[in-house]
Amino acid sequence: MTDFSHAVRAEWLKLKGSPMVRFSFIAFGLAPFMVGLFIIFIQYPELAVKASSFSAKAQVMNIQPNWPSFLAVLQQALAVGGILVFGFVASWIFGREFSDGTLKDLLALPIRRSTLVQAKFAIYFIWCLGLSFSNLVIGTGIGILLHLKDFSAGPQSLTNYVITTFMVILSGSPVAFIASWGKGYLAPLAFVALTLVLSQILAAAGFGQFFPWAVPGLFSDISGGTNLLTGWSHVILCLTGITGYFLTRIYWTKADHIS
Amino acid sequence: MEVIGTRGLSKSFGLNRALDQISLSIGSGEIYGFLGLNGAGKTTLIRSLLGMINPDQGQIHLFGRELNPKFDQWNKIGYLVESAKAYPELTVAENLKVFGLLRRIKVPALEADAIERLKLAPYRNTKSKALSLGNLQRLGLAKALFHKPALLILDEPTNGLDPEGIVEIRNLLLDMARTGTTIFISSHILAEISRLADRIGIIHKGKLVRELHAHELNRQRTTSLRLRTRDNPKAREALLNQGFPAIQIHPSWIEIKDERAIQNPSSLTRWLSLQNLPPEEIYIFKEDLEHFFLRTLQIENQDD
Repeated sequence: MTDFSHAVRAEWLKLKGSPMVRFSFIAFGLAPFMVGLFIIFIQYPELAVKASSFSAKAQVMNIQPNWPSFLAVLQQALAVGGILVFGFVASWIFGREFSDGTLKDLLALPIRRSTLVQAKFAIYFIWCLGLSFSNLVIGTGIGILLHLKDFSAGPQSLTNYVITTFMVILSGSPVAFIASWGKGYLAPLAFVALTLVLSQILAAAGFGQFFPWAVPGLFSDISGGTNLLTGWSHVILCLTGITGYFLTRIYWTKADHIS
Repeated sequence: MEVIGTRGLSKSFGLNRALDQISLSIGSGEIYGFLGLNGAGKTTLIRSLLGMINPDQGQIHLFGRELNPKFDQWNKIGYLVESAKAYPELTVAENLKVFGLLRRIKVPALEADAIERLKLAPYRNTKSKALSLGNLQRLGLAKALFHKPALLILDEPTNGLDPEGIVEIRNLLLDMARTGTTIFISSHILAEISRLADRIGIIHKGKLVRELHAHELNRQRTTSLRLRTRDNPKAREALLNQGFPAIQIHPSWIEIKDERAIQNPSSLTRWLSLQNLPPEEIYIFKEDLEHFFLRTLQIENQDD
């Protein structure tokens, strides 16, 4: 076995018993239930009288009781909620070593620090894929229970869902650097909140296609039918992901670790 | 064989010179005690030895190899830097397993042996967040030595341990040194260092101000005769007239650093009694490591 696989196994073991894993799946798993609830209010308008704000929101979002609409909203929830939850995941995987004071135990080992960083990113990737997949499974189950129609657009929706997943994962890599540089959870969580706020503002101002954290949302058609993305949007997003990875790696391997 | 060698090691953080031209040479099987006040540079040196801090100047050699990104002897080194930490949701055994994986050591018996040696067996399946400070420190030590390193670098290893634990760890370290393990240890418990170390280094304001062997320490530590009479000024004058270099170190105490007096306090007592100045109290003062350490720093501060 290679150093990398040993490091991944060690990272995997560190997840054991962690409340953060459960918390992330529960928090992220709320999204398909919410989308299902919107569909119920559309399907049964008499219920909507008792929950008028829900119903109003569902109408604003133009949700229809069919598979394409359901999967599109699920994808939008992934694009926006993923920035938050995947950001939390990256914050935790990297920031915990600083908050728990365990980083120093990792810095003078036979495994290179760059390999440790790669292993952490691998766990981040697997964890986020798991979150995305679990929402898809829950969403599919809810869709079946709600007897949604028109599954013909399913494969295309699934492809878009997977692409959005990778986009959100890419956008989370700078969070790993902020967690390392900020030595804990606080700075990366503030960074995630800031990216969400700026995404809203810049998207509203028409510049969202140049802001990497707004790109997954725009890709998932959250703006409503207008495709604002250009080739540059994808390039910026990819560069953001790659920069986040290399900055984290440089920080772990080159910085003075004085605390 | 030189296990740790540093040449002109310097490191600054802004205007603060944390390490200033530190040169050390520590041989195989040696226990090197490292003393210094808070902020003197102990932890900076330890982190530099472990490659966690990049020095501005100078070189570090471990086992004769230069410490650089290609250094590949990390499995020969075990360490505990500052207070012990562990993954809170993992048990004692799991915490060790993480480091077994990262050290690529496939012998679970080594982890089990460390648990036994550090008396952690009753807590093997206890999550580290539920451990007492002392047991967390034992876990930190278990992580440092489970792979049987040839060099142990320990920063305050007895933090949080009760007196029994301190004795156990001392004996464990002495056993390891007897089997050839080199131990570099910093501690603020000076008495502990004096019991353990073969050689002692004192760091102050980033400089290695003193280095001496344990047997030299006994010679370097001052011995004096201290006494108190009902009329100290008069007694001091009488002693000076008699050729004893008596000094008043405190309104109540006179100190004589003279071998004649130190070797024969009863004669001096008799003589003072004949002068109608019988000592109310008299004792031989042997400077302990703490006094020696503080005196060394005082001299260094005066030199500055």
